[in-house]
Amino acid sequence: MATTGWTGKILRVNLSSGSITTEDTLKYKEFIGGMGIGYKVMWDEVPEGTHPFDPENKIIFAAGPLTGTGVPCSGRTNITSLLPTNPYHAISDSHMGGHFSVRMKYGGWDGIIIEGKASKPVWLRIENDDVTIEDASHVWGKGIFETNAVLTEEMGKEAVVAAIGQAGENLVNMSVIINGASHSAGGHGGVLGSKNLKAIGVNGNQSVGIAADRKEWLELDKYMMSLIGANNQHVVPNAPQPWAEYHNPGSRWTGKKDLYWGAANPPVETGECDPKDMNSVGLRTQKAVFDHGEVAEKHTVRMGGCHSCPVRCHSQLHIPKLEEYGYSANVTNTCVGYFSPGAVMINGIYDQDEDNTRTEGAMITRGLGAQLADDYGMWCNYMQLGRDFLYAYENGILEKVLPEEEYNSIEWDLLEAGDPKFLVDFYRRLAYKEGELSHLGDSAYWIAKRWDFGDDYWNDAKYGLWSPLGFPRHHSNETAGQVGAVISCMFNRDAQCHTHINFTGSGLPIDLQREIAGEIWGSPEALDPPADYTPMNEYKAKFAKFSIIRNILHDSLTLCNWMWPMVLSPLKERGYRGDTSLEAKFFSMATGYETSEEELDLAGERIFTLHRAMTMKQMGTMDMRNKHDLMTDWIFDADPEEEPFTPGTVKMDREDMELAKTLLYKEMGWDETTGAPTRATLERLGMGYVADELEEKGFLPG
Amino acid sequence: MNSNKEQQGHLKDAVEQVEEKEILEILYEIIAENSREIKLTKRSDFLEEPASLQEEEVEEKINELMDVKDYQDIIRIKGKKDDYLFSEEYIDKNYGEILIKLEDNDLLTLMVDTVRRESKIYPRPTDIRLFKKAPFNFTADTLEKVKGELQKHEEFQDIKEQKASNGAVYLYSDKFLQHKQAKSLTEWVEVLQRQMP
Repeated sequence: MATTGWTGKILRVNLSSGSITTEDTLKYKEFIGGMGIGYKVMWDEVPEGTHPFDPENKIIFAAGPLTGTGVPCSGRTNITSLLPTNPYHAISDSHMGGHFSVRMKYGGWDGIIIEGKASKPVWLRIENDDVTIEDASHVWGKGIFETNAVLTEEMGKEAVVAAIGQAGENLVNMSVIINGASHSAGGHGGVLGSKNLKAIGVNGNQSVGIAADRKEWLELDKYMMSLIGANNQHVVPNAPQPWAEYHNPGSRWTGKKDLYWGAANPPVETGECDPKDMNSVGLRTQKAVFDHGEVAEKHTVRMGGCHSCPVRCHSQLHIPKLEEYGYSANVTNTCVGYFSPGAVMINGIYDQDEDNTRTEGAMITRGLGAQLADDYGMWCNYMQLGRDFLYAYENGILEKVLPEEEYNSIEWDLLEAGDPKFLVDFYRRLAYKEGELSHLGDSAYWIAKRWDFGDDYWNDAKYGLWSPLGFPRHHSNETAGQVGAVISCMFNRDAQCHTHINFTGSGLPIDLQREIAGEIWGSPEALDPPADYTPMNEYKAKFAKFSIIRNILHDSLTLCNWMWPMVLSPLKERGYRGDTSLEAKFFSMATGYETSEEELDLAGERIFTLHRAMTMKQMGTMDMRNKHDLMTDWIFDADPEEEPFTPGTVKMDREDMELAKTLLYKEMGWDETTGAPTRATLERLGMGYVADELEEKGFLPG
Repeated sequence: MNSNKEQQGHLKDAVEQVEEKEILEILYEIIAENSREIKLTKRSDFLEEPASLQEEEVEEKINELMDVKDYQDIIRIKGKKDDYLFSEEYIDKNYGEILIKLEDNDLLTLMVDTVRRESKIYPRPTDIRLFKKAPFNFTADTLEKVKGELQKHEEFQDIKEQKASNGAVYLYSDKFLQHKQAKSLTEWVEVLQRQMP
């Protein structure tokens, strides 16, 4: 049956048998695509108790009905599987930007389900309907950059390859899958490694159909483009601009007069980037300068990014000094991709000044580290790797747990001198699982257990652990108090949710933000002023639910949650309002299934609730409140001299956070005691079969 | 039928109306052209060519200009040294106010107003390095001098200094931000935010 939005086909590849089959996408229609398809396949097909590296585990690469349609910021690929870093190996998704999912859809596929294990290293070659399992012996053992180059050469320059590096091959828990040079999905590289699957290459020359009239589609696209801001949907500039009523130094809208892509030939001035000038959207985010400071301006060749994204948040830099370390002068990445290697340099950088992060040395360190981590395919667990290393280092643990010979072989003098050369040795040891040090790559929960970290590791804010399940804070209590805090408790890794931080970080004045919050979530009380929190209320719960559900939808449609939803806009004449109905409008026009905003949100709720149910099965409990939705102590015990809800502290109150959970459970229709979905809710979401299975296992609340 | 005298009278009125319109158009064009180049127009500019108004008619013409329906983008603000006009089509009012204080060389008020506004509306402490950037463009010496002046004025005693743990200096107004909140936000903006991007 011909479909629009979706291609209508999902590829299933069994690496054990070599079987290659096709399935109908529309049987997953209620789960939209991307993450939704991934969760449904995992629920249906992977039993609890499966280890991530078992052949019985599956990994699903999936796009959504908006991927490849040209909707702005729709180049995301969602990857779903069991997560090696999680103590229960619970389900999780990793996702990457770039061009992989779009090219997959051009090949005619909405998703790829990988199962089994190949008997020897292979890679999967997909060119339209021509799908073959190929020998990968010539790229096994190679880094991601070379693998991508070799396989792309074999397939043709239009092909896109997603690959693992040595870290994934060696089953390092903290490993990634990367397409392009920097579009990285963290956490599931080892799953591909366990299946002896080095890479997937996709190519195709088909198109993605759209149900709607083209002119109407273009009109909606144009309207959407009028509402778009800079990276993270920041809607005011970073510094005062003639056209701007407001500015905010935290804004990623860095474009301004006299700011350049300085290494372009000839240099390109970003200019003032008036919000009404659609053609300068791609110049608004000079991310190199935002990430590295003014020192990066002259090294900026251009800004890169994902398919169909006008924002361009990956900075492509030319740093000749990188060649002194034996690496390419050309490097591209963004945000944590750069910051994380910098954070491994726990004694600072050689030319550290009082600013600490804005020096040439810091930029070189990050550029070198980004290449090493991306080529080996190492993940950082949202910068936790550096903090784990710091704890072990400053508490003398490494001297105890590393064999003397290994300890003495590490060039500590480089670390102490802040010489980025230290990273060359560090990442190699982790990626190849060389020695005891490499267990840092097991991730926080496992290394704390192995090396017997003390309570202070978990309970000191310095080390950043959000959950006893071993994942760090990521736009947590410092972002809208209980809203960010409760969001951070809901997943099996850091929440990767940006809906709420995009809103609070937009750069608009607090009164205006609260006014808009009131329009969307029922009351301005949904949002407190920064560092001046009030107790939990139902409107904060609605804000949290909206943030999660839209994040889930974005990973299913697929859209970029670093930009979507368009809650706000840079337009003064609209009172800076955006339009939260855009996802549903695009979905309806792409698929031909007329769907309201509320109906689409319900699909997001369905997907999120399925994630909850599957996590319960994997953890063997329905007491999610006390076993899963947990926080470490520093969140409550920081600023010991201050009481919660006094200006200046972002510490949380234990009782209040239990109320926060209760109110979110209530919004979700989950049991308010345990946090488990009720039968009524599961049936409302069309998942009576999930209720049946949970009941059978004793996990359905009475 | 109208008499010749009446006809001449109407003609004269019509000519005056055209001239009136032309002079307002000229004034508007001056303002718009300057604004396009992100420059203010001073009241005194209208005494020069091409407007060439007489001193006694400037006020009347500006008032007429401000009443024209099509020219509602024009903003007029009284500065210390002159009256300033600009088109909001090209210069936001807030930015225009910054330019006016720079034009008046009223740097102390500019710093105080900027800090108070940021403490009040966002709210956030103000990174003192902001004043070294466009459109402020203070030199290091000027910045120190202006900051030093703050302490000499009773009416500016609400402006307080807060240092982040890395030594970076921020200013805030305690009329709008409590000390502990300012301290927390300074550390967040300057240090912690970069650890949690």
